[in-house]
Amino acid sequence: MTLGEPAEPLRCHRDDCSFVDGGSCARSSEFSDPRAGCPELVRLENKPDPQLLDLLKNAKLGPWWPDKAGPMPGAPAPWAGDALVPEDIRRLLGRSHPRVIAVVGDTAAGKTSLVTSFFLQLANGHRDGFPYRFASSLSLKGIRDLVHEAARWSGSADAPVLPRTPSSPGARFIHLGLRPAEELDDRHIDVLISDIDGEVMKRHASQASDLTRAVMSFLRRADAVIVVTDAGALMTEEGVSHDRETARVFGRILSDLDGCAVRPCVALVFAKFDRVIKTLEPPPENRRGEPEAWETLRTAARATWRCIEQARRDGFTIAVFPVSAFPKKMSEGQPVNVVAPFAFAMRHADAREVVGLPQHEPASGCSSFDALRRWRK
Amino acid sequence: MPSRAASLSVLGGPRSGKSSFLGALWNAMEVDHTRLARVPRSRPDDTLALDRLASEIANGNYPQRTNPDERHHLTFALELTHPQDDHGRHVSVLVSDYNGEEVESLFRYRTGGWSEEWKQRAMASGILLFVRPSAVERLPEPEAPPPTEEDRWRALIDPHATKTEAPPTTSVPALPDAPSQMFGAAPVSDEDERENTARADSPVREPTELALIELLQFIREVRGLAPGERPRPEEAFRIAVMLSAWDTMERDWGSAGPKRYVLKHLPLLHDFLWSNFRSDRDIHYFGVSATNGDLRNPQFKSEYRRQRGLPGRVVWGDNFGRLRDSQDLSVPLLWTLFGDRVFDHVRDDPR
Repeated sequence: MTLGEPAEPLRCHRDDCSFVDGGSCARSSEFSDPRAGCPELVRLENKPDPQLLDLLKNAKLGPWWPDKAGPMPGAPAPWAGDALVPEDIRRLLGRSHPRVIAVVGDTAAGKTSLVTSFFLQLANGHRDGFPYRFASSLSLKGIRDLVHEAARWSGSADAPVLPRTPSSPGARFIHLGLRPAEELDDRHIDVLISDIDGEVMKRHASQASDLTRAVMSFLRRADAVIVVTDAGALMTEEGVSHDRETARVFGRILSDLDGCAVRPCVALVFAKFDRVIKTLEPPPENRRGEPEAWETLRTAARATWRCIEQARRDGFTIAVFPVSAFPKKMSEGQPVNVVAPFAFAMRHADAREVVGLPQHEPASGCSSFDALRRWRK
Repeated sequence: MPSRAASLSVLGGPRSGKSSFLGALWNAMEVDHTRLARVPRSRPDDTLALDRLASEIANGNYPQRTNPDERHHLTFALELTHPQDDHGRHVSVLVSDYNGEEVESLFRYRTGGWSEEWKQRAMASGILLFVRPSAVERLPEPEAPPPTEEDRWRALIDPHATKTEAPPTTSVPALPDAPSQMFGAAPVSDEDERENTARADSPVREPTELALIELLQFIREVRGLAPGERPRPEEAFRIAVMLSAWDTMERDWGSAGPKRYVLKHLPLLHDFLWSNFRSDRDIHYFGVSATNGDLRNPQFKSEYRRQRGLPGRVVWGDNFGRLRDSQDLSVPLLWTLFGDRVFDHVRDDPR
């Protein structure tokens, strides 16, 4: 019997087989060429079209094997696992006071890379002083897709680390549930990090409409705004365009937040700083809020700095960060400073006085401490 | 003495060692390699699934799943033998086994698959959660002293500037000196739970435990537990984290133990369990070796068959920080049913 082509990556029905991992076939004594002869390997049903095989080889497949079974019978999973949409948000609002972090900026500035790299640091146990530990996420599937894409990046500056964020009719959020690392603090804090296509933000900046306002309406609820700008792009001849676009998005956001009783903090992130590090050293931490400390970036990001100054005058708390989310391929090196903007955002959110929450009467059988804990959230 | 019924869920991805453990455990119970429990004199009517798994192991083969859709509903009938008020009590433990690839499929395909069977598994008395450490890409050793932000930027300018002699990637963090030999190794403390701080040129690891964490989240959802809510005593269920093929980890992690391994190399899973359960009551970490050697090694397999099956091995840390080591494979299963008091009745088996 002629066996079909083995599915790639290799997969075997036998638990004791290490052939799929580069070891030896569990039935190696029976077959000189397990790929051709072993029936335990999962194989494609029919001999595939060679062109299709080429397409599959070049396509961006995940580390998991193609699953012949596909969707299984049974009810849908309790949640989709991707970026949250407004209906998911409403569910969260019923149980806690989520922190909302708006990540904004021009297209390809590095917004999604920043968020992905931040999650990877938590997942690798590199919290870098971030005083929270991972507790939950409704977005694990979406996060894993992003992580997997990042892991496949070639390391070339000419190729994006991640594909462009897809457009969607509403705002999308990545969800993380965090628990304070302090043992006695048993809160669970939902954190919603926006994941919005830069084109939508650009359109909102230059041509605000009811549609774009609807997408960006969450801003007035944001605890922090992280403005991401590409340091590498800024230092090129085309950088003036990137600076202007960033400033327009930033300016529109400041305008949208006009009149807000409780202001979010603002973090300006100079992303992809690895691309300028050889010619520009980041200033010491205590001077990062000063444009003149950034030397050539002061000029290159003139319009953006102007927005920073405007935000300062309007009473926003500001911080500036040089960041490199993926300076190299994941297998070759660590990011730099990706946790710091989120730590700043969470510190600000924690310090804000939460106003307007109803007093909770302890429910029957519920201790007053428990009720207080829930109120504090 | 009244008998008791319980159910356990055995969770884990593909090739995580679930079936091998179950087969080895039943095998061990049949030949009295377990001390806390044994097969009752009056055997249950249907032990075919367990017998098949046990026979495979006894013959020196890891159990195979001939049909990916095959389901095993295994009933472990135990007669408890430890000398306490439960001596002689019969416990019937229903273990639901399945194809490990379903965990991945559940994670990927959200429009279906969350079956009634899975929901029943979610309501089990306890969970045996299998992870195969040899399949986990290890995180590099932390750097001491931890690099500063400036160090990391400097490393991007001149990678050779950070090429100092690095500690080996398989070295185990040194345990703090015990105050006395009597108390053995110190327990995992807050200091041990300090963050890893990687070298600038260390790889960033793609976490492999996301599907398992998602499954645990689904289970908590079915049980009515909110994220971050640690179960009250009346809601509590135990999770035994089973690091399979632990014999392959002995050289590097034998003195540190399974909990430290998870803390170091599966930090996301560790944080999830810490955040959502009472670590001192609901979670315990076991290093498990079903066969105490690799049956794919022809010499070991031959010796294993010649000896009519060698005892397996279980390693765990007790509440005093001591590493315990026993040939009794029933320890993790009984811990999920009865908690820490089981450890009082386990005899260590020195190597």
